[in-house]
Amino acid sequence: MNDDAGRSTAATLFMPVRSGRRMWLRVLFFVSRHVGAVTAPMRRLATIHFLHWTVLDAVPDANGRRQPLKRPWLWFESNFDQNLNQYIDAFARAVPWRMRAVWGSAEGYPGLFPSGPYQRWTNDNAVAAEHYWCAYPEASTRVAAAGLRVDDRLRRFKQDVAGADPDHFLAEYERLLTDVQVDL
Amino acid sequence: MTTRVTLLAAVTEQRLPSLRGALGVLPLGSDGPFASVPGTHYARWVLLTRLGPPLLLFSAVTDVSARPYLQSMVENLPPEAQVVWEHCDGWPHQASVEEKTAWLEARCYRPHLTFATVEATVQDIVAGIDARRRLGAFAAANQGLEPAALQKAFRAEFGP
Repeated sequence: MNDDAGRSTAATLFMPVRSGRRMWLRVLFFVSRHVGAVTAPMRRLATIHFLHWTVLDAVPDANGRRQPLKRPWLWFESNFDQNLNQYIDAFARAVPWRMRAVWGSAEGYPGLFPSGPYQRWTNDNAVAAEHYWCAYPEASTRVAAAGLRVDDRLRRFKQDVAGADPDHFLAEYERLLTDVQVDL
Repeated sequence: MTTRVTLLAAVTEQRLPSLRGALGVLPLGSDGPFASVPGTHYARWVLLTRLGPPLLLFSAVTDVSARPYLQSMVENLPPEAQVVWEHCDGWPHQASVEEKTAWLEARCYRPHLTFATVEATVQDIVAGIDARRRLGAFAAANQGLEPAALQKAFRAEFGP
């Protein structure tokens, strides 16, 4: 079992969907795709890199034909920086109503708080990866984002100081460091 | 924009131990098989038994859309990782790259909601991480230099 790749952790969750809640999830995800305000607060969770949800109705048989499942399943995957319990706790505190809107459609959902039963429920529905790989395991999501900002600012700095005399170079260099200091 | 490539493939119950063994011996880190597939941010293989018949789940976050990514994976995964697909029911062992790609694509699912806090290519993220590290080290090592010496040192480190 291997859910870690350096700083990155993989979560893979499969939860049976409660009776009558399949359409609600499809509508919720449709609205969330088209209304940025729904997912915007999740950007505060700087430890998440990527995540996705899928409502699974059918799975392939030996011939690749989709066979309907007896009930739909909610398939969730994420790539993030912490361990699973820290992650789901941070998620629940940052966007509780959004989490209730999704997880409340899953079988056995115990509520977000207190966190103990919620963490147990999440862990019970987690499936460990057999193989997990990340292209930049040494970097947290925060560092990856900071690196992009530094790289962009550094490129502009190099353009600004091309042909500059040493005093102008120094002034621009100090401005560069001021701009990127929170990202270094 | 990144793409999520997610697929499920059926696995015969009797092949599960062998498949688990094949996945368990794959190298990790920079020697991992997905290091050979350009544009892979993250990749995972998961064995699923709770939905009914056993399934192999593959998912990746990639820089390209599903079909070119799957084709690249078929072409570039090293043999010890190609073995993983050979455990799946109906895998076309002797088929062409295009047929294998089509086999994988037929088992793909499109996620209903995706989210990312950082959207950039693997190349840009890796370059950014390197730029951040180098600039931090340079700033710490060259404090208090005269302007001309600082400029010279900067050009030596980062180019003209």
